[in-house]
Amino acid sequence: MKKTAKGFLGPIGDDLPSLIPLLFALMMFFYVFTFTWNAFDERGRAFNDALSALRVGNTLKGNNYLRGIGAFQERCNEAQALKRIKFMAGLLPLSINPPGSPGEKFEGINIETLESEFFDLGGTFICTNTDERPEEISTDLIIRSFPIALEFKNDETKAFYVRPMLLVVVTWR
Amino acid sequence: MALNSRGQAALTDALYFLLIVSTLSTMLFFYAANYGLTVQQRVVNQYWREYATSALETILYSSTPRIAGQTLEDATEVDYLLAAVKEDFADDSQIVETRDALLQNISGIMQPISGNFDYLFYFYLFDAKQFPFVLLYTREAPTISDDGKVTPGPGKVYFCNPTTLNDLESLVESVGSSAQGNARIQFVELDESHNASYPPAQVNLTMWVPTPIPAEVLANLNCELHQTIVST
Repeated sequence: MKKTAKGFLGPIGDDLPSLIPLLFALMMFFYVFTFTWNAFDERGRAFNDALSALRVGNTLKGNNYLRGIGAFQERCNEAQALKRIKFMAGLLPLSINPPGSPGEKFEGINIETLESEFFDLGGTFICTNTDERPEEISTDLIIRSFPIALEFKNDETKAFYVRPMLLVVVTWR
Repeated sequence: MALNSRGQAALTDALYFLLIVSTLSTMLFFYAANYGLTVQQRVVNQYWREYATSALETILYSSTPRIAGQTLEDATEVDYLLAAVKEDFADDSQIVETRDALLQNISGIMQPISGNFDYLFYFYLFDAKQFPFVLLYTREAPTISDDGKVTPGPGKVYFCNPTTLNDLESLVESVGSSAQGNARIQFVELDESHNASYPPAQVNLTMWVPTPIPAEVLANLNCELHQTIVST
């Protein structure tokens, strides 16, 4: 009893070695818990963003047939009701012309303008819910594109033709 | 002695606690790392399905110039592409005259993703079990030169003539995950006395990430190389 009493450091001091693994375990648990919480939160947000991009695209393309700029504006107003994400959408011409003619090749997608440099659509087919412009360096940028048929009408002759276009939707936070 | 034993018991308890927490933390970590990967893949797949459906509908809605070689903007007379295809088919139950217009339209609509996807487009007549038009686009694997420069592989356009729908199903199965758009249409057929019949048909567009197609599957499709597109 005497020997034991000699090494006795008090109620805390006696249990000091056992506190080290205890604290280490608590630190590890809270680190992993925070990591998991952040991962859930981040992925949940990413899903919602991806679904929002699809929702904007679906609203704008409707049944994949667009009867000119008026119809586009109507659908744009509907899409603008979606507030949880910033978006910008535009129409680009697809290359369906024979080799050697203008517009033979697809121009590519410039997300800052979303407009064709060479093709006149007879109106501005741009829809957005913000004054900001997407930045290419942004990590939360989502780009979705859908082919869509656009009707071009000659108001005098009432003749029309339907041309394939590419609806590009860019979303960001 | 009793006091010493108490100290050892506390340390053992703490080590057990550490062991349990370590196990739980490891499980939680792996769960968090894999959380949502399946859902993420499904969201992406949903997008590609939307693309395939939109592309198919756009092809069917599009117009085409009545005179070959003209552009839609300059054409003196235009018609719906599908109407022109049906008219072509009504003559001799084949799609020949409008084949290039159809190819041009499909290639144009699929061009934005043709670097990342192969695709198949076909018409299938249910009653006659025939394929009046089958288009297969595949892209070969990129090549890497000695100095590390990557050159994209050429795209190849084939017109195919499979005998059964199983041949196409074998193709789709062999390429793994794919996105499809399907629609029902009716062709027009005229007999010798110009009586019309309306055979039901299916039009399908399937796209997938470029995958080497097994030789025996490709052989069953009876494909003929129509065009090689070299990326610049």
